[in-house]
Amino acid sequence: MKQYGFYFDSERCTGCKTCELACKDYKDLGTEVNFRRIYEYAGGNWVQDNEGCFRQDVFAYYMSISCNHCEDPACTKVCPTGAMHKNADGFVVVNEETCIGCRYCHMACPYDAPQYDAQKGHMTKCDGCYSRVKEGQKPICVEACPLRALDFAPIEELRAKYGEQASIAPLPPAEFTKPNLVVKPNKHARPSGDTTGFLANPREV
Amino acid sequence: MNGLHEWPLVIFTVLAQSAVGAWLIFTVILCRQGDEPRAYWNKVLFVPLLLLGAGFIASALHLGTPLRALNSLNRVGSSMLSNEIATGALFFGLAGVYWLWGLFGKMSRGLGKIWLILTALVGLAFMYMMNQVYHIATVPTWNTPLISWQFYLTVVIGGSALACGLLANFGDYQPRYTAVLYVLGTFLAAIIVIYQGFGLSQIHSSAQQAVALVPDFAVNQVIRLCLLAAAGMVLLKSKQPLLLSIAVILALFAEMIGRELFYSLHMTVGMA
Ligand code: SF4
Ligand code: SF4
Ligand code: SF4
Repeated sequence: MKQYGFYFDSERCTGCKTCELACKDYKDLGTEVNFRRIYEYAGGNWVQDNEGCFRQDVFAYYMSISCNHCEDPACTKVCPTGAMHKNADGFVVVNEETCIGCRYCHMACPYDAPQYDAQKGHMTKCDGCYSRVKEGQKPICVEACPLRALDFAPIEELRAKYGEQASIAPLPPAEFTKPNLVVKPNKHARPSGDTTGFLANPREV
Repeated sequence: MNGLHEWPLVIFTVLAQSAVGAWLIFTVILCRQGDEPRAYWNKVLFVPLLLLGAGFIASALHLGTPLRALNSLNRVGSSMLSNEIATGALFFGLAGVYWLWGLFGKMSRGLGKIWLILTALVGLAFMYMMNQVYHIATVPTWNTPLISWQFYLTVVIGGSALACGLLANFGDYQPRYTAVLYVLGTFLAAIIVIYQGFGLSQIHSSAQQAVALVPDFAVNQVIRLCLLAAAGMVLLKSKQPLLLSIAVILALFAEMIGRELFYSLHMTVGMA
């Protein structure tokens, strides 16, 4: 299989969280674990123009992020058991039979994708709906999105169609893990590391 | 403080570092002066082993599935965490054998020396691995030389505090340098705190400011340094076993405050 990746259109996403909930339903997740999370990045201020008028330039946009099944995953590098691994088809998955729940992968992933399930005592994470994709279907989150802001396809195709951008705040710069992710920026999009805005919904993610 | 949820790791790292530090000091003394009187050394050497054992138990508590703990050795060579556990277990084994040997049998001086030095080298490797575990490229607050300093200084401070306390009533065996090491370690630790305090304001992602993670950084470090100073005064002056034990506990506790701040500082270059 070719390397798959996610496409996310930040112009379309309204932050409705249908993808997150569809995933939760399909993967039967409790309230503490989210395989897909919606980050709200917001900022802006009053600025004075030449005439002395104050105008606001506030902005807010959303990023729906799961695991990016990275080319250079931070999570697999550190895992002591090999439970977190990139499989032959390029999906980064956790072998729940081997994982000891040390949470080291969670410390390393800059996308907060591996999440510890206290009930199960080990790591859990988006598997890219591996079994669905193998059968030629799209992941649940992609199909659920009412705005058609998500897609999942061979990353080559996505990059040919939409470009290479994946370093939009609050995401980390793409050099760190080389995510298989393409983001369509919106008109307010700021680059990774930007500090003009802030994470507006820290308790939701 | 959000670093408190990592208390098993706080206990594990500080106890293991202090145990290894003390073992290194004992190694130098034993290699130079031999292990007479044996009965006393048997007691002294048991303490770092005990602390290390307690540390390992604490570290297992941090796992979600402790029954599978052995899986953590699957990636020795590639994962720093595997390396840490492997070298730590090896150190524990070698040190334990040396202690049992002293307890039950008579080992030749030469072999004993070689064994001690080998154990000490494995201990150093263990300390290196423990420090490397936290050098994760995506964690900007940890991936700095200051963190290595902090970790190695706990080896010096905790180790010399233990050695001072255990050897205080042991005639000529207490070398002057254990006290000097303690003072030097604490002094350097204070310097690191100053650099770290300033450095933190430079570290941020779009979602997180490093300084916001440790709002009580200054007051906690002040408490830590005061405790280290107070413990130091007792360790340098007193011969009272009870006072000495309290001083050692205070010194280790002070290092745990520092380690707690360290775990609180976890953030990544992204949203986590
Ligand atoms: S997004 Fe995180 S968990 Fe997923 S592959 Fe990349 S580093 Fe690993
Ligand atoms: S929690 Fe599990 S998957 Fe993550 S690093 Fe530890 S053993 Fe590996
Ligand atoms: S690909 Fe599947 S597991 Fe991953 S976020 Fe989407 S629905 Fe959840």
